[in-house]
Amino acid sequence: MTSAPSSSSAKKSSPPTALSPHLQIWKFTVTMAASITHRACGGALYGGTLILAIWLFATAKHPPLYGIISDLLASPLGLIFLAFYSWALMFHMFNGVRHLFWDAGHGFDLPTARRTAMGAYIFATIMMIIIMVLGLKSAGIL
Amino acid sequence: MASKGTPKFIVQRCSAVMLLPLTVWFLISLIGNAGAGYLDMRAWLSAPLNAIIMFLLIIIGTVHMRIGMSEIIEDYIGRDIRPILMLLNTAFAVLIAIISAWSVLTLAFL
Repeated sequence: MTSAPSSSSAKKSSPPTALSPHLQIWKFTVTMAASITHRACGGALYGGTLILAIWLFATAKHPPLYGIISDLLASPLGLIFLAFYSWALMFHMFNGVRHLFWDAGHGFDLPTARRTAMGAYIFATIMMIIIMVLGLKSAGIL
Repeated sequence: MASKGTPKFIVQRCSAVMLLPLTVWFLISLIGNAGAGYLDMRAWLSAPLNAIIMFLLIIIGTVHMRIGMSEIIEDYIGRDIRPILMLLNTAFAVLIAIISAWSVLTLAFL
């Protein structure tokens, strides 16, 4: 935080913009945890689109690459990746709905915000289990 | 960036709402196709309805993720290196959109 604005302020151009406080200054609460988890999941999903893009490209144009990706995703590490990806997607979706309700003026009181933050973690975990079980059954592994 | 704040806010919320049903569709599709071989996967993705929904998911998803990442950059990164990260962010989103959309459209409609 201290180093970032130095060069722009030295030039005496526009003043440095305020940066958000980083994690270490916050007291741990479930609502702040949900907030940072939402961003972390968004970032993870952002990176994950690269795999989706490569997979779509392989399906359309490159059979050998498709085989490599299929094998990787079906490996133990690949299945762990898919479980985390499902969790991130479900958390971001549920917490995104929380944000939409807040934008509409609902659910921003502290008891509700705490309960729905907890709900995001529970929802993501239950959905991850359901998705993985159904996926493994569909693939004939379970 | 201040003048772009309101459109970004609106586009981010609209894309979020559109992504809700698309995400549910995506998950059901992935579960249904889990373990599918190359030809089965191609046949599924070639079906016009699947290709069109996948195309929508790609476009709306990359729009949404680009705005989301730009907000993270604005919150945590100082002004000196912010422009280059913003440019890389846009480049990544466009690259993902082009590779994915081109793959789906050529498979289904060419």
